[in-house]
Amino acid sequence: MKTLRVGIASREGYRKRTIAIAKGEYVPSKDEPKVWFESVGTLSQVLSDQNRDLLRLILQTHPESLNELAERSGRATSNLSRTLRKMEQYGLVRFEQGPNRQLVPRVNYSGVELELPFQVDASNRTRALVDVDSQDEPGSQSALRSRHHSSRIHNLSSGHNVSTNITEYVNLAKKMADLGCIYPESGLALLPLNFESAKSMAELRHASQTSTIRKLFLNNGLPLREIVERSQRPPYVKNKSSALVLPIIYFSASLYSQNPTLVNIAINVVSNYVFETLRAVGMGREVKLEIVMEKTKGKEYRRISYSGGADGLKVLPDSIREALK
Amino acid sequence: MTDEQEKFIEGFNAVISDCAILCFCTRDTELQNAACLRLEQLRSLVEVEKTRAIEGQDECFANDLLGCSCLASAMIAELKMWALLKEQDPDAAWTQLVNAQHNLADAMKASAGFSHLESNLRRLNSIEKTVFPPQIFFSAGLVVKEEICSICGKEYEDCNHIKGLPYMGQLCTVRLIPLEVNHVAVVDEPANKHCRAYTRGAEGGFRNLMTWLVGPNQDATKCKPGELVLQGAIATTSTFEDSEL
Repeated sequence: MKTLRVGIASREGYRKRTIAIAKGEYVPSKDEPKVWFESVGTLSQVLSDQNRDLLRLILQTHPESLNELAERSGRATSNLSRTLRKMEQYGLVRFEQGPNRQLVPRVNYSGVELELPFQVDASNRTRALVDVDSQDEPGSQSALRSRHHSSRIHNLSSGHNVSTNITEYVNLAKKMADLGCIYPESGLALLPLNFESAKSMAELRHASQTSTIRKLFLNNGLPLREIVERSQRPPYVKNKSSALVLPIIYFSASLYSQNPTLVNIAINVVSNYVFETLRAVGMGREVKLEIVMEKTKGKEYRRISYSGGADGLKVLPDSIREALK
Repeated sequence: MTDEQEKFIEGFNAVISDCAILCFCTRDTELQNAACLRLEQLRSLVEVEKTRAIEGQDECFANDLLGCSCLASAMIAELKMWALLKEQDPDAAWTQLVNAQHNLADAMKASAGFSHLESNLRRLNSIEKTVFPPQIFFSAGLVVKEEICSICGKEYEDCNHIKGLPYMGQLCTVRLIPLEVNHVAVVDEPANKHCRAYTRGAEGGFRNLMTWLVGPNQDATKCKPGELVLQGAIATTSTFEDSEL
């Protein structure tokens, strides 16, 4: 069985490269990666320890259905199906049809080989090539396209001005103690929108997307800490206006110093979520997000307030570095 | 996809392509109505095929078919919108436009094979801005105590499903159990475009914001000319439902 050669390429870089190949302006060499991930964060999500265990299990046990795999792995069929479908998009697995129309998962490769040169990604390979805007094929826009065409790269500009402000944040450890919350010594947490101004725990209000972001973080193996007991979780504010208001994300100093990749993964998870959400409802909607960084353990905290389109979220890792200077 | 499934999708795509030709204002209304019937039949066939896919635990295909069903619904709504505009019923036409937008968005959520529908969505958005006059939208802010998952019926916080994602041919939505309505505001860009003002106060009654015609007061509400007394819809369903991803 072969190994799959993969690389890292930004959306824009991948788009340019694909168009250049299609136009015959760029011929990829034989040893170039066949599959591209948008970031190291995405790669580590798709090929997390848990997912690699799953691939190993399929290779070793050759399950005859998703249900059989669910039983063997102890994971829910719906979760498995979603995970495998994601891997199918990257060519890591395929589905065959078994008896009684059951889907049979199969692994295509024995492992992956990552090409990751410093300071170079696939966009550099094609940077010198002509920039062509994607165009829709006339007459074919209404029908279902085959799954082989589904990994189309979206490059929609929201038209929003990106604004990031870095300000001091209230002493989180003290505020948590005042409100009777559980201080997250490590890992990351989701804070209610009015955490800074609330006078009591009863006043706290979460952003409406908090449950979803919580699930996405946990599904991606991020060390999410709860700041209140389950029974004390604050209600949600559901604002039916156009801006997408996300929960405040708190990163502890220990998380950032010991494993900054997890911070990037968290931002990547949020960014993908925002992109998928807005893609279906219109990229014109504004996104509002605040990040709170613990600068000095238990003492200093910085807030990064972001407002802008989905495409501007990529500035956040730089803003975090700036906030911690 | 199996050969049988590919064949079904080919047939679906052929009908959609045929009907797409009629999605213009100038097309004959009778032809548009006939296309609606054809699409409704197609949607029924899609539902039957989806049931088979669910029985076979083929989640990918079930989700593709969910997208097909949503796309057929979107096209029916668009055809109805054009027909209603020609019948001079712009309020009902607006409802169909918003339904078409929602259904297209749902098709895109249902399956990655529909991600190219962004261009269709942009087209509907430009129809909204060019064919219809600017609208006054409402936005309701709620404090929500609990959200119930449409897939498993459990509290959304405790289940594994994600809003807006498809599960075996069904999009995950949540039913909101509100604690309180904390505000109603007039906004430019609402989350739900069904929530809009229909009329406003004018000399002799209420002015329809679509047709600009003034009609008589139909209830006891009184207002002075120019006074902003709006009549409209804040919520369009009896239950609060949210499918935002």
